[in-house]
Amino acid sequence: MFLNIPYDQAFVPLYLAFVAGLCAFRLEPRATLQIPGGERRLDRILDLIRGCRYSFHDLSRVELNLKRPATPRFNMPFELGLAVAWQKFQEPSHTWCVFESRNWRAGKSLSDLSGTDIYVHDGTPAGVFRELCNALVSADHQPTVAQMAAIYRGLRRGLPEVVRKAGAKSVFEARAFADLIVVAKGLTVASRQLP
Amino acid sequence: MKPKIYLSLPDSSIEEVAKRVGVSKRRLKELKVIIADLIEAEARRRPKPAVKKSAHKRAKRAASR
Repeated sequence: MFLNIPYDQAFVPLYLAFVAGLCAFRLEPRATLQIPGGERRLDRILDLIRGCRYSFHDLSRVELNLKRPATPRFNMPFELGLAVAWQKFQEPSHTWCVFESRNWRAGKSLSDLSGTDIYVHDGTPAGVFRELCNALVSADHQPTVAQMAAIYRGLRRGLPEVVRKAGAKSVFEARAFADLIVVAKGLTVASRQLP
Repeated sequence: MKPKIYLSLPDSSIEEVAKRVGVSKRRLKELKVIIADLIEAEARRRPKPAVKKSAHKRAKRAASR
């Protein structure tokens, strides 16, 4: 599962919500932050998409990054475009979904997506859980929102220690990301005892 | 129509997940300690189920009021 999200501090709660929700559904997120330096980034992104059966793309950060020179952030829509092309021309079984925090905004910022339904999470972890439940149907076991929320709380509580022990400066580093997935997996097992 | 993804995935163990994402055995051991602490904290957070008091205790409490 390829997770295409913005890497900024304001997005941390939603990032943890996506990790918690996806792990609750037994999916293992992969992200471009796992790409090691020194290799051509675009090739590695393509490899990542190629290796994933599904991809989720969050387009909720379309604002200008005010750090000079102020620019919009093109990475998320660009990687969505790569996934769409991969599905259209090479791998029809690849399924991609688009997430946004505000209704109708993607229609304005990326009108090429008209006719594509967007999952609108309102910019909240509860909204992410709700939309993941709308997007994913598990034949064997459908996690509840309460279970996803419990995993999320655990990740939030454990985040400082995970980042510190990973020797990372931020949660958006490869090692911290890998550790978070393992912690989410451990919490998923425990959350199954919840109603 | 929103795309729906129908999943039928095997449940992997934490060791299998750790191996796939590149977490070493030593690191996994440390993470298991963190996970145990987090599970304990979550259990403390949950309200304990209310214990129904016996008729005798209810009568005793009513009498003391």
